Amino acid sequence: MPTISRTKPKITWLQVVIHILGWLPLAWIPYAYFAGRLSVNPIQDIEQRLGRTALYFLIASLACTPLNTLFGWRELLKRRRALGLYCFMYASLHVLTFTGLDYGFNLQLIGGIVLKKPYAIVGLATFILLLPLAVTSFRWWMKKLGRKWTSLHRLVYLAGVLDILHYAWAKKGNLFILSGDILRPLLWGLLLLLLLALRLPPVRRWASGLRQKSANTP
Amino acid sequence: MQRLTIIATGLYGQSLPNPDGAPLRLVVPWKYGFKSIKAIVKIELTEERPQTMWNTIAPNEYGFYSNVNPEVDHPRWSQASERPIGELSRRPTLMFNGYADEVASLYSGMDLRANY
Repeated sequence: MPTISRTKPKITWLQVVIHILGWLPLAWIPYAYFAGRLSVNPIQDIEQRLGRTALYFLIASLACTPLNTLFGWRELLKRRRALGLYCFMYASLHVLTFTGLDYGFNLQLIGGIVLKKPYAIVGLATFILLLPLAVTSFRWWMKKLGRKWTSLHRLVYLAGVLDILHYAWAKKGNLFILSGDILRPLLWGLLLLLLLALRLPPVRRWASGLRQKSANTP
Repeated sequence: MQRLTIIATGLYGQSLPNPDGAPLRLVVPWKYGFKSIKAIVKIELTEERPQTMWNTIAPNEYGFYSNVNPEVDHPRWSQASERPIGELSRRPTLMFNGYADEVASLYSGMDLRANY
Protein backbone atom coordinates (compact mmCIF):
# COMPACT_ATOMS: atom_id res chain seq x y z
CA MET A 1 0.00 0.00 0.00
CA PRO A 2 1.48 3.34 -0.93
CA THR A 3 2.40 5.40 2.05
CA ILE A 4 1.09 8.94 2.19
CA SER A 5 3.93 11.22 3.00
CA ARG A 6 2.97 13.97 5.37
CA THR A 7 5.14 16.70 6.68
CA LYS A 8 5.32 16.46 10.46
CA PRO A 9 3.11 19.21 11.90
CA LYS A 10 5.17 21.97 13.40
CA ILE A 11 4.37 22.75 17.02
CA THR A 12 4.08 26.48 17.58
CA TRP A 13 4.94 28.38 20.73
CA LEU A 14 1.30 29.50 20.91
CA GLN A 15 0.21 25.88 21.15
CA VAL A 16 2.69 25.26 23.94
CA VAL A 17 1.44 28.31 25.83
CA ILE A 18 -2.18 27.31 25.38
CA HIS A 19 -1.61 23.80 26.66
CA ILE A 20 0.40 24.98 29.64
CA LEU A 21 -2.28 27.53 30.50
CA GLY A 22 -4.88 24.82 29.92
CA TRP A 23 -3.61 22.61 32.73
CA LEU A 24 -2.17 25.19 35.11
CA PRO A 25 -5.47 26.21 36.74
CA LEU A 26 -6.26 22.57 37.44
CA ALA A 27 -2.81 21.84 38.84
CA TRP A 28 -3.06 24.91 41.06
CA ILE A 29 -5.99 23.45 42.99
CA PRO A 30 -4.27 20.58 44.83
CA TYR A 31 -1.33 22.88 45.48
CA ALA A 32 -3.66 25.51 46.94
CA TYR A 33 -5.42 22.91 49.05
CA PHE A 34 -2.22 21.69 50.67
CA ALA A 35 -0.79 25.17 50.98
CA GLY A 36 -3.94 26.29 52.81
CA ARG A 37 -4.69 28.84 50.10
CA LEU A 38 -8.29 27.85 49.53
CA SER A 39 -10.94 29.86 51.31
CA VAL A 40 -12.73 28.77 54.49
CA ASN A 41 -15.26 27.16 52.18
CA PRO A 42 -12.83 25.10 50.07
CA ILE A 43 -15.46 23.19 48.12
CA GLN A 44 -17.17 26.39 47.02
CA ASP A 45 -13.78 27.94 46.27
CA ILE A 46 -12.80 25.04 43.98
CA GLU A 47 -16.25 25.06 42.35
CA GLN A 48 -16.06 28.77 41.59
CA ARG A 49 -12.45 28.70 40.38
CA LEU A 50 -13.25 25.91 37.93
CA GLY A 51 -16.30 27.84 36.72
CA ARG A 52 -14.35 31.05 36.22
CA THR A 53 -11.61 29.21 34.35
CA ALA A 54 -14.22 27.71 32.02
CA LEU A 55 -15.50 31.23 31.31
CA TYR A 56 -11.99 32.53 30.59
CA PHE A 57 -11.39 29.79 28.04
CA LEU A 58 -14.79 30.42 26.48
CA ILE A 59 -13.94 34.10 26.08
CA ALA A 60 -10.48 33.22 24.76
CA SER A 61 -11.96 30.95 22.10
CA LEU A 62 -14.37 33.73 21.12
CA ALA A 63 -11.53 36.25 20.90
CA CYS A 64 -9.69 34.36 18.17
CA THR A 65 -11.81 35.40 15.20
CA PRO A 66 -11.93 39.11 16.14
CA LEU A 67 -8.18 39.17 16.80
CA ASN A 68 -7.61 37.67 13.39
CA THR A 69 -9.96 40.23 11.87
CA LEU A 70 -8.11 43.09 13.55
CA PHE A 71 -4.51 41.90 13.36
CA GLY A 72 -4.43 39.16 10.77
CA TRP A 73 -3.13 36.55 13.22
CA ARG A 74 -4.30 33.55 11.28
CA GLU A 75 -2.90 30.90 13.59
CA LEU A 76 -5.51 31.85 16.18
CA LEU A 77 -8.19 30.36 13.98
CA LYS A 78 -6.56 26.96 14.36
CA ARG A 79 -6.34 27.27 18.11
CA ARG A 80 -10.05 27.78 18.72
CA ARG A 81 -10.72 24.10 19.17
CA ALA A 82 -8.13 23.62 21.91
CA LEU A 83 -9.43 26.66 23.78
CA GLY A 84 -13.02 25.44 23.43
CA LEU A 85 -12.15 21.99 24.68
CA TYR A 86 -10.33 23.41 27.70
CA CYS A 87 -13.48 25.43 28.41
CA PHE A 88 -15.47 22.22 28.28
CA MET A 89 -12.99 20.43 30.50
CA TYR A 90 -13.26 23.07 33.21
CA ALA A 91 -17.02 23.29 32.79
CA SER A 92 -17.30 19.54 33.26
CA LEU A 93 -15.10 19.61 36.34
CA HIS A 94 -17.18 22.51 37.66
CA VAL A 95 -20.38 20.49 37.17
CA LEU A 96 -18.75 17.41 38.73
CA THR A 97 -17.63 19.44 41.75
CA PHE A 98 -21.12 20.82 42.19
CA THR A 99 -22.99 17.54 41.79
CA GLY A 100 -20.43 15.24 43.40
CA LEU A 101 -18.16 17.02 45.82
CA ASP A 102 -20.71 19.59 46.96
CA TYR A 103 -23.97 17.66 46.87
CA GLY A 104 -22.74 14.04 47.00
CA PHE A 105 -24.74 13.11 43.88
CA ASN A 106 -27.93 13.51 45.91
CA LEU A 107 -30.40 13.89 43.06
CA GLN A 108 -33.15 15.22 45.27
CA LEU A 109 -31.02 18.08 46.56
CA ILE A 110 -29.50 18.77 43.15
CA GLY A 111 -32.90 18.74 41.45
CA GLY A 112 -34.23 21.13 44.06
CA ILE A 113 -31.62 23.63 42.96
CA VAL A 114 -31.00 23.03 39.30
CA LEU A 115 -34.67 22.92 38.39
CA LYS A 116 -35.80 25.83 40.53
CA LYS A 117 -33.09 28.41 41.04
CA PRO A 118 -32.35 30.82 38.16
CA TYR A 119 -28.57 30.81 38.58
CA ALA A 120 -28.49 27.02 38.36
CA ILE A 121 -30.99 26.77 35.52
CA VAL A 122 -28.85 28.98 33.28
CA GLY A 123 -25.75 27.11 34.44
CA LEU A 124 -27.28 23.80 33.40
CA ALA A 125 -28.41 25.33 30.11
CA THR A 126 -24.88 26.56 29.42
CA PHE A 127 -23.42 23.12 30.05
CA ILE A 128 -26.05 21.42 27.91
CA LEU A 129 -25.16 23.82 25.08
CA LEU A 130 -21.44 23.12 25.43
CA LEU A 131 -21.87 19.33 25.28
CA PRO A 132 -22.64 18.94 21.56
CA LEU A 133 -20.02 21.57 20.76
CA ALA A 134 -17.36 19.57 22.55
CA VAL A 135 -18.46 16.27 21.03
CA THR A 136 -18.48 17.65 17.48
CA SER A 137 -15.14 19.40 17.86
CA PHE A 138 -13.36 16.98 15.60
CA ARG A 139 -12.71 16.94 11.88
CA TRP A 140 -14.80 13.81 11.38
CA TRP A 141 -17.86 15.78 12.49
CA MET A 142 -16.94 18.79 10.41
CA LYS A 143 -16.96 16.57 7.33
CA LYS A 144 -20.15 14.81 8.36
CA LEU A 145 -22.13 17.97 9.15
CA GLY A 146 -20.68 20.29 6.52
CA ARG A 147 -22.30 23.72 6.63
CA LYS A 148 -24.50 22.66 9.54
CA TRP A 149 -21.37 22.35 11.67
CA THR A 150 -20.81 26.07 11.50
CA SER A 151 -24.43 26.79 12.36
CA LEU A 152 -24.27 24.36 15.29
CA HIS A 153 -21.12 25.94 16.65
CA ARG A 154 -22.70 29.38 16.63
CA LEU A 155 -24.49 28.13 19.76
CA VAL A 156 -21.32 29.07 21.59
CA TYR A 157 -22.49 32.70 21.43
CA LEU A 158 -25.61 31.79 23.40
CA ALA A 159 -23.52 29.71 25.79
CA GLY A 160 -21.35 32.76 26.44
CA VAL A 161 -24.33 34.98 27.25
CA LEU A 162 -25.89 32.35 29.53
CA ASP A 163 -22.56 31.83 31.26
CA ILE A 164 -22.32 35.52 32.14
CA LEU A 165 -25.88 35.43 33.53
CA HIS A 166 -24.97 32.31 35.50
CA TYR A 167 -21.87 34.04 36.89
CA ALA A 168 -23.73 37.19 37.92
CA TRP A 169 -26.67 35.37 39.49
CA ALA A 170 -24.37 32.92 41.26
CA LYS A 171 -22.68 35.92 42.87
CA LYS A 172 -26.11 36.94 44.13
CA GLY A 173 -26.08 39.87 41.77
CA ASN A 174 -28.51 41.13 39.20
CA LEU A 175 -27.26 42.40 35.85
CA PHE A 176 -30.66 43.79 34.90
CA ILE A 177 -30.82 46.23 37.79
CA LEU A 178 -27.07 46.39 38.34
CA SER A 179 -27.21 45.30 41.95
CA GLY A 180 -24.85 43.13 43.91
CA ASP A 181 -21.23 42.11 43.52
CA ILE A 182 -21.32 42.02 39.74
CA LEU A 183 -18.25 43.98 38.72
CA ARG A 184 -16.45 40.98 37.28
CA PRO A 185 -19.43 39.37 35.56
CA LEU A 186 -20.26 42.78 34.13
CA LEU A 187 -16.74 43.38 32.80
CA TRP A 188 -16.51 39.93 31.25
CA GLY A 189 -20.02 40.43 29.86
CA LEU A 190 -19.00 43.68 28.19
CA LEU A 191 -15.94 41.97 26.72
CA LEU A 192 -18.16 39.18 25.43
CA LEU A 193 -20.50 41.72 23.83
CA LEU A 194 -17.53 43.39 22.18
CA LEU A 195 -16.26 40.08 20.80
CA LEU A 196 -19.72 39.25 19.49
CA ALA A 197 -20.18 42.71 18.01
CA LEU A 198 -16.92 42.37 16.07
CA ARG A 199 -18.55 39.49 14.23
CA LEU A 200 -21.47 41.51 12.92
CA PRO A 201 -20.84 41.90 9.17
CA PRO A 202 -20.73 45.72 9.06
CA VAL A 203 -18.45 45.88 12.10
CA ARG A 204 -16.28 43.09 10.75
CA ARG A 205 -15.87 44.90 7.44
CA TRP A 206 -14.92 48.11 9.23
CA ALA A 207 -12.40 46.27 11.42
CA SER A 208 -10.91 44.49 8.42
CA GLY A 209 -10.72 47.81 6.68
CA LEU A 210 -8.66 49.18 9.58
CA ARG A 211 -6.18 46.39 9.17
CA GLN A 212 -5.87 46.89 5.43
CA LYS A 213 -5.43 50.62 5.86
CA SER A 214 -2.60 50.14 8.31
CA ALA A 215 -1.07 47.53 6.04
CA ASN A 216 -1.18 49.97 3.14
CA THR A 217 0.11 53.00 4.99
CA PRO A 218 3.78 53.49 4.12
CA MET B 1 -41.57 27.76 79.06
CA GLN B 2 -38.67 27.19 76.69
CA ARG B 3 -35.22 27.80 78.07
CA LEU B 4 -33.32 27.96 74.80
CA THR B 5 -33.05 31.72 74.47
CA ILE B 6 -29.91 33.12 76.04
CA ILE B 7 -28.83 36.67 76.67
CA ALA B 8 -25.10 36.15 76.80
CA THR B 9 -22.80 38.31 78.88
CA GLY B 10 -19.66 36.24 78.43
CA LEU B 11 -17.87 33.68 76.35
CA TYR B 12 -15.59 30.82 77.41
CA GLY B 13 -15.58 31.97 80.99
CA GLN B 14 -14.79 35.61 80.25
CA SER B 15 -16.82 38.74 79.65
CA LEU B 16 -17.81 39.27 76.04
CA PRO B 17 -15.01 40.92 74.07
CA ASN B 18 -16.05 43.75 71.74
CA PRO B 19 -15.79 41.77 68.47
CA ASP B 20 -18.05 39.12 69.95
CA GLY B 21 -20.84 41.57 70.69
CA ALA B 22 -20.16 43.19 74.07
CA PRO B 23 -21.97 44.06 76.29
CA LEU B 24 -24.80 41.61 75.58
CA ARG B 25 -25.68 39.30 72.78
CA LEU B 26 -28.75 37.26 72.01
CA VAL B 27 -28.63 33.57 71.22
CA VAL B 28 -31.70 32.09 69.53
CA PRO B 29 -30.35 28.82 68.12
CA TRP B 30 -33.45 27.81 66.17
CA LYS B 31 -33.29 30.87 63.95
CA TYR B 32 -30.83 31.86 61.23
CA GLY B 33 -27.71 33.40 62.69
CA PHE B 34 -28.42 37.03 61.84
CA LYS B 35 -31.26 36.94 64.37
CA SER B 36 -28.80 36.33 67.19
CA ILE B 37 -27.92 39.97 67.47
CA LYS B 38 -24.79 41.30 69.08
CA ALA B 39 -23.83 44.46 70.97
CA ILE B 40 -27.27 44.98 72.50
CA VAL B 41 -27.55 48.36 74.19
CA LYS B 42 -31.30 48.66 74.58
CA ILE B 43 -34.25 46.32 75.00
CA GLU B 44 -37.70 47.71 74.25
CA LEU B 45 -41.00 45.91 74.75
CA THR B 46 -43.50 47.01 72.13
CA GLU B 47 -47.14 46.40 71.43
CA GLU B 48 -46.74 46.21 67.62
CA ARG B 49 -44.28 44.12 65.65
CA PRO B 50 -41.21 46.31 65.03
CA GLN B 51 -39.40 46.83 61.76
CA THR B 52 -36.27 44.68 61.61
CA MET B 53 -33.19 45.54 59.58
CA TRP B 54 -32.91 42.64 57.15
CA ASN B 55 -36.65 42.43 56.65
CA THR B 56 -36.62 46.08 55.66
CA ILE B 57 -33.69 45.72 53.28
CA ALA B 58 -34.91 42.57 51.52
CA PRO B 59 -38.39 41.57 52.64
CA ASN B 60 -38.72 38.76 50.11
CA GLU B 61 -35.57 37.12 51.40
CA TYR B 62 -35.47 37.83 55.13
CA GLY B 63 -38.59 37.25 57.14
CA PHE B 64 -39.34 38.53 60.59
CA TYR B 65 -39.28 35.07 62.14
CA SER B 66 -36.33 33.59 60.18
CA ASN B 67 -36.77 30.18 61.77
CA VAL B 68 -34.54 27.49 60.32
CA ASN B 69 -36.89 25.66 57.96
CA PRO B 70 -35.60 23.22 55.33
CA GLU B 71 -39.02 23.10 53.69
CA VAL B 72 -39.14 26.76 52.72
CA ASP B 73 -36.52 27.81 50.19
CA HIS B 74 -34.83 31.15 50.12
CA PRO B 75 -35.88 32.66 46.76
CA ARG B 76 -32.44 32.13 45.27
CA TRP B 77 -31.16 29.00 46.95
CA SER B 78 -32.37 25.94 48.77
CA GLN B 79 -32.06 25.59 52.53
CA ALA B 80 -32.67 21.87 52.61
CA SER B 81 -29.08 20.87 53.34
CA GLU B 82 -26.08 22.22 55.18
CA ARG B 83 -22.39 21.47 55.58
CA PRO B 84 -20.75 21.91 58.98
CA ILE B 85 -17.64 24.03 58.62
CA GLY B 86 -14.57 21.91 58.04
CA GLU B 87 -16.48 18.81 57.02
CA LEU B 88 -16.75 17.22 53.61
CA SER B 89 -20.32 16.05 53.31
CA ARG B 90 -23.67 17.73 53.58
CA ARG B 91 -26.40 16.77 55.96
CA PRO B 92 -30.11 17.55 55.87
CA THR B 93 -31.06 20.77 57.61
CA LEU B 94 -33.28 20.08 60.60
CA MET B 95 -36.55 21.86 61.29
CA PHE B 96 -35.93 24.65 63.81
CA ASN B 97 -32.24 23.68 63.60
CA GLY B 98 -32.96 20.54 65.62
CA TYR B 99 -34.82 22.32 68.39
CA ALA B 100 -38.31 21.43 67.18
CA ASP B 101 -39.16 19.69 70.46
CA GLU B 102 -38.46 22.84 72.41
CA VAL B 103 -39.84 25.57 70.17
CA ALA B 104 -42.26 24.16 67.57
CA SER B 105 -45.15 24.87 69.93
CA LEU B 106 -44.37 28.60 69.76
CA TYR B 107 -45.44 28.56 66.12
CA SER B 108 -48.17 25.93 66.19
CA GLY B 109 -50.96 26.65 63.75
CA MET B 110 -48.89 29.21 61.82
CA ASP B 111 -48.26 28.94 58.12
CA LEU B 112 -44.47 28.79 58.19
CA ARG B 113 -44.24 29.60 54.48
CA ALA B 114 -46.13 32.87 54.91
CA ASN B 115 -44.39 33.59 58.20
CA TYR B 116 -40.90 32.76 57.10
